[in-house]
Amino acid sequence: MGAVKRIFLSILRRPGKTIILMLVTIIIGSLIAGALLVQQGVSRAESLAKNSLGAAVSVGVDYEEYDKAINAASDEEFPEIGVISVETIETLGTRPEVKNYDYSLDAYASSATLKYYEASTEEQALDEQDSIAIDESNSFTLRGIHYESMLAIEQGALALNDGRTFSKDEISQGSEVAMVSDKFAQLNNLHVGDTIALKNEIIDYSVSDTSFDFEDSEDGLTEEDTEESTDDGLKVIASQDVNLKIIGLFSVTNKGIETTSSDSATNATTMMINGSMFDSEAFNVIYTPISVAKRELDFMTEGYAQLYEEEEIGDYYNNVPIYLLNSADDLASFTEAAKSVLPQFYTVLSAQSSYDQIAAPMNTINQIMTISLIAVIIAGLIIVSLVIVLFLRERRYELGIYFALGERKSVIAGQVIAEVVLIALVALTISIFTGSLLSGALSSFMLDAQMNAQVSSDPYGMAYDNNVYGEQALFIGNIEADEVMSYYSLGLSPQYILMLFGVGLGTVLLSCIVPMIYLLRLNPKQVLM
Amino acid sequence: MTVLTLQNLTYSYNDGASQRYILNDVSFNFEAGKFYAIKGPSGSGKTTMLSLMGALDKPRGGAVLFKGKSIDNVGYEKYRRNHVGIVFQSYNLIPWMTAIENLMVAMSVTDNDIPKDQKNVATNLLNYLGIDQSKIERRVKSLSGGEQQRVAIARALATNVDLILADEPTGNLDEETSEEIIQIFKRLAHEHGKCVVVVTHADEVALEADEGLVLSKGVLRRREMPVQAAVPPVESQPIAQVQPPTLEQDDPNDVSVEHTDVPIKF
Repeated sequence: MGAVKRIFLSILRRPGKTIILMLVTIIIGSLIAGALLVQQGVSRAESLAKNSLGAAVSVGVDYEEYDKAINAASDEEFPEIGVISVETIETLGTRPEVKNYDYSLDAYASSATLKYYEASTEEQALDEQDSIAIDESNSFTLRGIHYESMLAIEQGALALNDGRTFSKDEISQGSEVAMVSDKFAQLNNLHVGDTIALKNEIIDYSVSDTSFDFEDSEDGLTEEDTEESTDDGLKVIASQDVNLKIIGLFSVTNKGIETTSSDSATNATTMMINGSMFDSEAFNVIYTPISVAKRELDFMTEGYAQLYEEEEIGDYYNNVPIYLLNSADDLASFTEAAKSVLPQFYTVLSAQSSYDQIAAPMNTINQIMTISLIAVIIAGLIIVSLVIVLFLRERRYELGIYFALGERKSVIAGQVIAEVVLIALVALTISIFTGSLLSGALSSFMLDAQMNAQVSSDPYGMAYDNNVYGEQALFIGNIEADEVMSYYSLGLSPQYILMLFGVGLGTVLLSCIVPMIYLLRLNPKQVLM
Repeated sequence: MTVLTLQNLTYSYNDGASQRYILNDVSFNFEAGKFYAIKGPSGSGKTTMLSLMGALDKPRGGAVLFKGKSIDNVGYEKYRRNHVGIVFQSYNLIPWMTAIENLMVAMSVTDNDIPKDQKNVATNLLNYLGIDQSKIERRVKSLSGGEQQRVAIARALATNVDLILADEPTGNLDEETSEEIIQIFKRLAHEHGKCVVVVTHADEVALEADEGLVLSKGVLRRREMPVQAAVPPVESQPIAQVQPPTLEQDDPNDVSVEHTDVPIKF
């Protein structure tokens, strides 16, 4: 009877030992399977969430760093935030990780005739129109862009509806042309080829004595107050006409809306920031060549400098670059490269950094699972080793007989290991299912606990805000914890089964080391005679 | 023909400061077709000597030669596998296997030529040693001591070796069964030409042996043989031979064991 038949006979003829070893392996296997499944769920959620965020990045001020510097600085000397030069932006744009890039500049202009489109609901929009009418003048963002084809259109946040995008010449010459949203055009009865007239006004707010004095009134700012202060207080110091010819209309796609707003209905703060500001803003932005926006910004900067009699105004505007990376995986190397080029306090902003902020619960779960996995493997090694050694002690006569019969040590060792591995294979197969039951219970418990921890550490959801504004918001969305959680799912994938068998069998095989030492040191003379 | 030679065999261990000798320069030739009994008081080193002869332990000095070749050169594992069969006092069968499976394990291990129909050979062997058909397929732990020892002897024979070593083979058996086992050993030596070496402290075994040896204080001596024990060795007959020896040719002094009055096939 060869070793192979002995292996099967040994397993079947000693069912008690087989069952004990199998139960131990099932328990260990289930724990390993549970941890692996949860980890896999977490990493799947992470990659789905990151994929949904895309590979767009920007650069901006890292206010956390800046705050730290302020706290560390003496009272008189505040650290200054530098300016990103166009050269810096273009240098980064030539990085191999970058597929495409653009930079933009936001200026503001107002109009007494153009209406501001409210995106919230149609009804609301009608109501708002009334109040807008009282307000007389609306302020609009003039977003100057450098890339003529518009990244937002290429990336699908905006869609060209009518007309065309800019030409290279228009951008380089600073032609007074514009693109507006179809909603805005519809509301104001505008078409391609029409010209819109806006004003860039320098307003002296200090003239009014009642304006914006919130503390005076217990009820806060009321409509009447606003109206009064507008009528009485504001005095226009200087004004420049901005006449722009509409060359194209775009619609804001669902993607564009999603990225500029947040679906966190549970969070009042986020609603306030995103709901009424970013939601509608996307429909009211007027896109122009960047030099047009720069001209208006310069006019405004100088105007206010004169008004407040400041000698030095400095560059308080900033170009906002957007880089589309080849893939989300390039973020790390791009960030590394950017660090050496960017001025102090600047950092690479990406949706992934917003992800990293809210990924804490996922990371915690991942860490807990990794630690559990290591603990289970170590405990498993010890327990399985002990069980096998105990069984071998009981079998020492049998093993001694094989020795006395002249069986090769390698065959005897192989027989023992094969028995253990066969039992482990059955046990691990069962663990696939017991482990997924376990991971179901485990992950619902852990996700609940981690979500609660997240909410209590950040009750207003402020941590979600990654200082993304303007054009950045079209590309770099925010993602929230519950959204990431929604990507979390448990599933039996081939990788999971391979991992389980790999880790499980590895543990069992390592557990055979001590028993093998025992076996090879066995002295048949002592055992048998 | 000399099957096994002990050549200046020495075995000792450190007992505190002094060296304690179990075997001190022991030399002896064991011949084919003979039944040897080694007697000696407890702790005299009988078992140690047997374990050296069976390659279960290494001597501190000297050598064990199998048919003139040192077993160091043969290789201990290979020597055990192909040249020696060992019978123990406590039988040492694999308890969760049947009688025939125990034999077949030994047959699977050896490199010696075993007839293809191993199951038949094993069955014949067991029958020959007095294990009837109904017990062949039973797990050995359900057999009596005497039956288990017969299975153990059958296992030692199953690999078709020339040398059978037995360590107190009757130590756990009653008188009648012991006598039957002794007769089996005698027959193996005289009819099948095996060299059978039994270590024992029982006089009745020693009295039946062709040659009695005494191990005392590390020295092996011949002892005066009783008259009846001098039996001339017979021609060697391979045990796995298909045609079995018939009992009519047996030495009339032999006491038949059960079932030996029917023709046996190996």
